[in-house]
Order: sequence, then structure tokens, then C-alpha cells
Amino acid sequence: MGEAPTGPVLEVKDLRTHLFTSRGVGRAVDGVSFALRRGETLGLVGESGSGKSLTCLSLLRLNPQPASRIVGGAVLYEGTDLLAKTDEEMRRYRGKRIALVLQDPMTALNPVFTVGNQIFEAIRLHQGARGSRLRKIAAEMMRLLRIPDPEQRLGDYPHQFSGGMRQRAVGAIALSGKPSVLIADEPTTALDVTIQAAYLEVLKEIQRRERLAILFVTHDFAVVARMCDRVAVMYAGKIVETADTWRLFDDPRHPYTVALLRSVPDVEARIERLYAIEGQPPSVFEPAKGCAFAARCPHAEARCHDEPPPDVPLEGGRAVRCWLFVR
Amino acid sequence: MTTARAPLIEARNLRKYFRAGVGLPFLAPRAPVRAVDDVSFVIGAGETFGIVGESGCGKSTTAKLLLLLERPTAGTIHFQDFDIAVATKDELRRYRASVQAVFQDPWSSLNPRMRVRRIIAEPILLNEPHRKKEIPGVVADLLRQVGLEETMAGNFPHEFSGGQRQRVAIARALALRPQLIVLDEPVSALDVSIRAQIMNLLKEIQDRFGMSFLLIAHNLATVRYLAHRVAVMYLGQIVEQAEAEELFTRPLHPYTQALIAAARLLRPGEEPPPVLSGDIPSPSAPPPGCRFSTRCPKAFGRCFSEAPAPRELAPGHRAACHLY
Ligand SMILES: Nc1ncnc2c1ncn2[C@@H]1O[C@H](COP(=O)(O)OP(=O)(O)OP(=O)(O)O)[C@@H](O)[C@H]1O
Ligand SMILES: Nc1ncnc2c1ncn2[C@@H]1O[C@H](COP(=O)(O)OP(=O)(O)OP(=O)(O)O)[C@@H](O)[C@H]1O
Ligand SMILES: [Mg+2]
Ligand SMILES: [Mg+2]
Repeated sequence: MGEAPTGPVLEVKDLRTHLFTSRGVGRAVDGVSFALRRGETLGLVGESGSGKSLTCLSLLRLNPQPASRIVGGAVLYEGTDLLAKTDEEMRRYRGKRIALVLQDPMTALNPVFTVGNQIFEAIRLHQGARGSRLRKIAAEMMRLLRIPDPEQRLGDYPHQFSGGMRQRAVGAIALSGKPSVLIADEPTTALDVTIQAAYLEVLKEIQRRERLAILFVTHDFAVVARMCDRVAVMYAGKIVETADTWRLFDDPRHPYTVALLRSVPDVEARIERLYAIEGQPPSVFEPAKGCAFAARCPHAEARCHDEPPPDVPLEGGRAVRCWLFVR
Repeated sequence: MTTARAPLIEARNLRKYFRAGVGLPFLAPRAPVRAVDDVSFVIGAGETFGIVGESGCGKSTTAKLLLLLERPTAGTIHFQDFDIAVATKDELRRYRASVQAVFQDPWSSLNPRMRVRRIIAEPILLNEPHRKKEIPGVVADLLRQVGLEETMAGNFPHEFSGGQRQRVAIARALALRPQLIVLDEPVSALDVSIRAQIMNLLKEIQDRFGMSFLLIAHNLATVRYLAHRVAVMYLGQIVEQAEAEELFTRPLHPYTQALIAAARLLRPGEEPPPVLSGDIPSPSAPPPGCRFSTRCPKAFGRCFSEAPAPRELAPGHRAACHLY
């Protein structure tokens, strides 16, 4: 409360999370910055392994340890740096102020408790409800997310749910905390398109009502189109382009974004062979000297291979990390 | 234009009912979940058979029945010339080696403590131990076939990216030269570019070896690209089945139509199609009549009382709907 209504609720500055393994140090999250305002959805898309999940986990300091460590940057929630909090203080932010939907529902759910118990726990903790009201709230949440027989299925264990039902249960737990920021790491990958559409409507409704800010990680551009106001594109640990959703779709600037969008197959067309970007991204343990995309980029020039490109601000609040845009 | 394919595997009237768990103490015991409720299909040799449908409609359960990870409550599975239920030990071993699987999650489907060499060789060690000596050569070969380098055989799964791990899973599935590979959401965890690489790879492998695929995927573009024929499931049953192009260009069942409409990429400012409203029916107590009637925008009188039987409405195109 009390902060300027337009100020970001979450601001991430130059976040760096490195991997520490027998193979050496890997710069998995390598200077990520973005701001998230109330009521806004920022999409985070990009290469598999580019550091999206590790970024999400780092925001709540839940990154795997000792495999990884946050080595720099700031995560400002309403202006306070979460990276400077004690573990005890940090616990008061998780779930209640910032909720996280993990990419893998099986690691998010405890196999020895019923799904109902796990949703009850979240509601009890964050909304203080008890007894029959608890069951009502939980069943209503499951109903909203289109789980059949919600009352009955609260008694099921996670393994008795289908893949998509588990994913929705994890969503229900996160939303039960009534957070002001939701970090959703591929929350709808296991859902068919009609259930997904319903899920996104529920999210939007809660967002309108509570001015929820959402960081939405996905590989699905149809979901980005429906859900996101702005999009950040990640490649090899860095955000390489940020723009309003439609500007990004209609006029992508970074060569990686251009190539990524070209790879999207269209249900409305019959295709013989899909376009895919040639080659592989550099290993996190052997970062490229210059731009990480240079080796695969059709426009790469000499300096692209030698020097990392700066983040170039462009018109309309967009930005791109590419030498082509440096005059 | 489509040449008839010799049937490889046939599922007839398959059912899988899961007995309800203990449930919550204050609730009355409930009826079993009818995860798969009278499903029949044929997968031809060299064919990709796609299954799409709502989350929870029974796709993975159908796959698990074919993989013998679950026992059917009723119904039969025929493979080539024998019935699985009464197969001899030898036939069953042949079946297990002939049917392999690749699952959605490249992060958890590979044993993190095994080197890739061992992961890929495992099916051979288990099923054809006499071939032990050939393993190094076979593994190198398989790695090349899926676009990985032979030198990667000594790596652990966590040293690979998501796309590379999925290639390892495919290499393992290929190890016994199976006749059917069950692909349950094989690419949904991958970014679109790596997804395209893997889909192209699957096509190449099929062209080269001629095996069949059972493909389960929520992404309809993936299914349209890879599948020859597609079945649409709703609440434990197949409601429509046709050649892929026919299904995507002339969907007949209102559920299929809703599914395809919801999958379109929106243009700027375009309103998404309305979300299917109405009650989500219970798989423990399916509605009388058509199972889709509670949400169907076109439902009329008899849809609510009489279950529509699947009928062939165009050559090779079957749908279960009273509209036709
Ligand atoms: N526990 C871990 N131990 C070692 N390396 C890890 C661990 N977790 C992640 N990594 C590595 O960190 C990098 C970033 O992984 P991350 O999961 O954030 O990618 P991502 O962008 O979420 O990918 P995807 O789209 O496939 O989910 C990858 O190279 C990955 O292999
Ligand atoms: N072991 C089990 N015990 C009890 N019920 C189960 C079990 N496995 C699946 N079910 C139930 O059977 C139904 C079908 O599940 P299945 O996993 O086949 O769905 P699916 O079509 O693969 O869905 P998704 O697209 O979400 O993966 C669901 O209602 C599910 O909860
Ligand atoms: Mg991830
Ligand atoms: Mg499934």
C-alpha cells in the first residue's frame, strides 16, 4: 500500500545466478533486468536452457543449491531488495506476496498428501480460512480451473491426477495465497487449448480484480498473444529483446526473435518441413566472447563475434541487445 | 490416395476404470473414474496415429494400456497375429521390445545417475542381453541417427539441454528397432525452434525405418504436421476419427470444431473465441446421452438422452454426433 500506483511492484536489476559444478562456473542467468507493474503481464520466452526457470526461482531465492548461487543484482519488491533479506524474512514473501508456479508439477506437489490437503494448507496459511469454508474455497478454485468433481477429487493423491490436472492443482495452490505478484513458469504446457483458454480467462479475471502482476514463462506464442502485454525474449542467460506483444510479433528486431517466430508452426496450414534454427546455443560453461547468438546469426559481423552487444533502447519503450542497432 | 496400411496394432473396446481412492472421510464412497471407456482404434504399420483431446480425457491412460503399464478393465489389444491378454511369454517379450515410449519431460525421464551410453543401451541389456558386445557400436550409431555426437556417450543427462535430452530419449526408444513408439507429449517442454528440430527428426526416422507412432499432443499444429490419422477423445471416448488433413479442414464434431477454433493464433485486437461454457462432466458419472452435451453449443433434445454411436460420415471419417 501507499506506493505510487504506476510504479513497478517488482523490479529486477542485473540479476546474475551462476552454476557451480564440476565442469566449472556457468553463467546461466547473466544480467537480467526487467520491471513488472501492477495489473500487467510480462511474457518471458526463449531458448530451452536459456535460464528462464532459474530466473524465476532466483526471484524467490529458491534456486537449486549448492548447484547455483545468486552472485549479483537486486530483486526489488515494492522497493525493498529481497536479496538482502534473511531467510526468515524471505519466507513471509513467498506464496503470500509473490507466488510461484513451478514448471514441473510433480516437484511442486507432495506425493504423500492429497491434492486437497495441499490446497487447504495454502488457503489456511494465506487467507486464514478454517473448516468447511476451507473446503468450499478449495473446491471453488478447482471448479474455476475446470477440474471435474472438485469436491470428490480433493481427496485424490497427485498420481491419481492426469498431467494437466496436476498442473492446474499447482496453479490453484499458487492463486490461493492471493499474491500481488504471480511468477508462472509454463503453467499451461500440459493443457489442451480449450482448458487452457478457460485457465487464462480465470487468471485475467483475478488479475483485473486484484491488479495482479504476472511474469508468464511460456513457449507457446498463442498463449503470449492472449495473455501478455509485453514480452521479453531470453537467449543464453540474457534478455535480448523486450517489446509490446504485438510490436514484437509484427516487427521483431533481434535476429534470434526473428528466427524463433519463424519456427512457430501454424495449425491452419499444411507444412511439409518445419523451419528450425541451425546449430546449438553456446554451453553455459563456455560463453561466447561476443554475442551469444553470433555463431547462428545470418547477419553477424566481425564485432558480433568479438564483443558483447549493448542493450539498445528503441522507440515505443522497446529494447534490443544487438550490434545491428548501434549506429 | 492413401494406400491401405497393414494393421500393426488394434485396440478393441478398451476400458480402464480406476477404483476411487479413500477420498475424504466426510464424503460418500464414489464411483470409479472411467478413464478409458470403450475405445477402439487401429494403428497401421508405418503410420502416425495422433490422439488429441481435453486434459484428463484418458489419452495417457490409453498409452499406458498399450505399453502394458496398466491392465485394461475390459477390451483387447491385438498385435500382429496375437492377443496380448492370452499371449505366451515369448510373444509378450517380443511385444515389449517392439513397443517403446518417449515421454514429455526430458528433465525427469532420464536417470540422472546414468551416463548416456548406459541409458541408451539399457533396453538392449534388458531385452537382448546376448547383444552385449555390439553395444558400443550400436550406441554410437544411435547417437548419430538422432543428431548427437558419439563423444557425448560419456555425458550425464544434466549436461544436456532440453532438446538434446529429448534426442537421447528418442535414441533409447530406437535401440531395439521397435515397430511402435508411443510419444506422449514429446515436444511440449521444448522451445519452438528445438521443437521443430525434433519433429523433423521424428519424420526422418519414420521415413528411414518405417515404424509406427502413437502421438499424443496438445499442440494441434504438432499433430497436424506429424500425424497421418487423428482421433479426438472426449471424456474417455473417441468422438471423431479421420485422416489428419480431413480432420483439420472439415471437423464434424462440435468438440473438434471448438478445439481447432481455440488453437488459432490471434491477430492484434482480435477477440479470442468464447471459452466452452457449461459443466465439466464427471468421468465417474458421465452425463446420459452424448458426453459432450453439457457444453455443446449445438445440443438439442435427443443429445441429452441418447448416446450417439460413431458412424462413418465420409470415407475414413467417423464421428459420434446426432447432428449428422
Ligand atoms: N540443478 C541444476 N544443476 C546444474 N545445471 C542446472 C541446474 N538447473 C538448471 N541448470 C542449467 O541452467 C541452465 C538454465 O536452465 P533453466 O532451467 O533456467 O532453462 P529454461 O530457460 O527454463 O529452459 P526450458 O525452456 O527448457 O525450461 C541450463 O543450462 C540448465 O542445464
Ligand atoms: N492411477 C490412477 N488412479 C486413479 N485415477 C487415475 C489414475 N491415472 C489416471 N487417472 C484418472 O483418469 C483420467 C484420465 O487420465 P489421463 O492421465 O489418461 O488423462 P490425459 O488425457 O492424459 O490428460 P492430460 O492431457 O491432462 O495428461 C483422469 O480423470 C485421471 O485423474
Ligand atoms: Mg524452464
Ligand atoms: Mg496425459
